[in-house]
Amino acid sequence: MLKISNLHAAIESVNKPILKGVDLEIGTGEIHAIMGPNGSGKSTLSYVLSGRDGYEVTGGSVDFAGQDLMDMEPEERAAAGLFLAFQYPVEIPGVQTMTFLRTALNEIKKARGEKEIDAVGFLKFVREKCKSLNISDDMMRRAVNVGFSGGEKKRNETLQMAVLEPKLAILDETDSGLDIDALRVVADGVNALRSENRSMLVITHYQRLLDYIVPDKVHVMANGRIVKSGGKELALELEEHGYAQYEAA
Amino acid sequence: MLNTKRRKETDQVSSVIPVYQSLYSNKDHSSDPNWLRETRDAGMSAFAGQGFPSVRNEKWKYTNLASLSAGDFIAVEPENDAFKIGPKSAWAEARMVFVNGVYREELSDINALKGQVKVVRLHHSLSTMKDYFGFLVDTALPTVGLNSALMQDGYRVVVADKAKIDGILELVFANSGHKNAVFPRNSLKLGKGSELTLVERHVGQGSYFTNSVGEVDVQDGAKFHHYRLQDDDISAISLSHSFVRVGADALYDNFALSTGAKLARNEISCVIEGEGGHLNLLGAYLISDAADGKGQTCDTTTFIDHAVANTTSKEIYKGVLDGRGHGVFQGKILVREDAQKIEGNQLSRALMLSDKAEINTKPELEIYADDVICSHGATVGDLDEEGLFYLRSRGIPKTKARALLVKSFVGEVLEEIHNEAIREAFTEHASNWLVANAEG
Ligand SMILES: Nc1ncnc2c1ncn2[C@@H]1O[C@H](COP(=O)(O)OP(=O)(O)OP(=O)(O)O)[C@@H](O)[C@H]1O
Ligand SMILES: [Mg+2]
Repeated sequence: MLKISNLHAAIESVNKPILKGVDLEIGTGEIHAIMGPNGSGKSTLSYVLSGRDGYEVTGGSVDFAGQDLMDMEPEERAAAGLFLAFQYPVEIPGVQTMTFLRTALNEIKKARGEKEIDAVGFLKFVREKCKSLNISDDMMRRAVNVGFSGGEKKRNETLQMAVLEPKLAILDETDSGLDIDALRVVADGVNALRSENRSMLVITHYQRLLDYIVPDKVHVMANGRIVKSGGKELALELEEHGYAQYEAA
Repeated sequence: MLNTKRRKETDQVSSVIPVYQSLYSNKDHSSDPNWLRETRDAGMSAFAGQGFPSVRNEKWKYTNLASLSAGDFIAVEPENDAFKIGPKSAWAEARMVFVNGVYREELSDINALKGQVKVVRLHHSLSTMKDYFGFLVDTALPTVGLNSALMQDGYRVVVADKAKIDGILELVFANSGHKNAVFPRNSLKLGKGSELTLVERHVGQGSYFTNSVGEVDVQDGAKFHHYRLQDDDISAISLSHSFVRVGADALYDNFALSTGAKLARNEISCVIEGEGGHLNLLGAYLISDAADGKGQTCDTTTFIDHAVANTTSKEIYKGVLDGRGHGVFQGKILVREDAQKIEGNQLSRALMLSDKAEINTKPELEIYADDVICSHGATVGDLDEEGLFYLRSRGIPKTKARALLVKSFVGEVLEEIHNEAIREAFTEHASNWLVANAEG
């Protein structure tokens, strides 16, 4: 599904290297988790994968389902099945959440040569997803993320993922700022999307999330590299001993 | 060097004055009553004394009328009728059509409002308007003076006390021809406790100059929703100056949407004279390159005089500037000495879609009372890159994502349009502009 080979990337404006040779391979249907200290480059990796401006890829390659990901526009990556749940979801005043979601879904369908969904059909489709994620109609009528609480923003990210049904979902700290109940709701939402042809990359600081979303593999990112990989028990070990041994490296 | 330049400007000013003077003296005003002839003469003198304002005039600092001063626009083809006028708008109950400033009965349809409101062409009621004609305007202004001297037609609407008019009145001002100069003059009176919704549409084809003046008297307890769509040809110069008086507990609710003209100035001067009077001055402008490849200029200049206590005003203008578009906003709020408990909020926001676009903003608060809440804000920004990436990461293509963000930017003020049908019509007009202009 995703094969990252020796990826190097720098922040363009300040010419600062952040990713310093990332290697990571995620098979179809697998769930991988990335943990690692603040500032180690986890969000940078997710932004580079989704095609945000401001980064210069200085080396390496990324193959996504047989395509060269780094050659594609952000919207093309989304149409190809990539989804990023943002660590900091963006507020878009004046654009209704419902309109935004339907536009996104239909643009992706259009790009894939599929039939677009009409307003009534969409409403039915989205209502169900909202219910399971505890998202009110009122939230759907409000402008995208404007005035949403931290937890509501994260639930909205999960909803978008559920609606767009990506092949690979990257969840960047979707658990941060959630209370226990909301964490459950979000984790259930994510688990509902687990399938043998959908892969996920879960970035988190807390082993707690991985109790709910059990990963196939856990990686440690430090200083712009994957420095250790293991099974789910690695998360427990990190919880106990911290990152000190990796950061020194 | 500097001297040469200055002399040249002076030459231009003096060269255009005789052109309009002879235009004026060649017209037959023998049927005008004495008072009107005197008003016209005074207007012509006001214009002849200074010509078109130059950028050295503080109020015209950002908007350059050099091509008018150079005499580029005079009545060359006043009979030109090239612009095709479609049917009455779906939302309109009745309409009046003016072509090159003159009323056209065969294109108009005012029967539906007969008996409810007096809707006539100004030309026919001038002789009876001694007490109304010019009672609100500032006659010393050269553009107003020129209008008074040369005006021949426009609309006159009088709503009787307590009459609430449900149907919308549409006024179409269509101009065409090469270098034509037209001078519409409009007069409105809303009697006590009355209500009216009126929409002006300014359209045309060709390089014409329109200089219109309006007088609006909103008497105690009346409500007037005054909408204006300025969609003039992008070779045209479109100047408009409205003078508004708002009585006690009355509302003047104005919305101006502008996309047209090479150079447009929409100037509104208001005085709130009665307690409880409220004013909405709202609008949006979307501009880009003009026909000559230079930028369109869109100037909004407002003056609000809170003359008495307990009066409120709300002012919001939003501009979308692409290409070499040039926006100007000048908004002055005056609160007089004994006018306590005033609330006046003013906001001007511009969205720059191009780094060649330009905006000049000049808010001015002049406050002589102390129990006053007045605010003004001006923002100029680019399209939000974070928002753009967020939308694109969800599969929305760049062009569409941009259009969505721009639409939501102007949507915020279009939402303020009180009448639903007009809100939809204006939103559609703005969307069409976006599709045609803001791509890429
Ligand atoms: N615009 C920028 N200019 C300079 N440095 C930047 C910029 N953006 C990010 N960085 C730096 O890049 C590094 C990696 O940041 P990134 O957000 O990828 O970390 P992270 O692993 O996601 O951290 P966290 O766990 O706190 O979310 C940090 O040191 C950060 O300060
Ligand atoms: Mg991060």
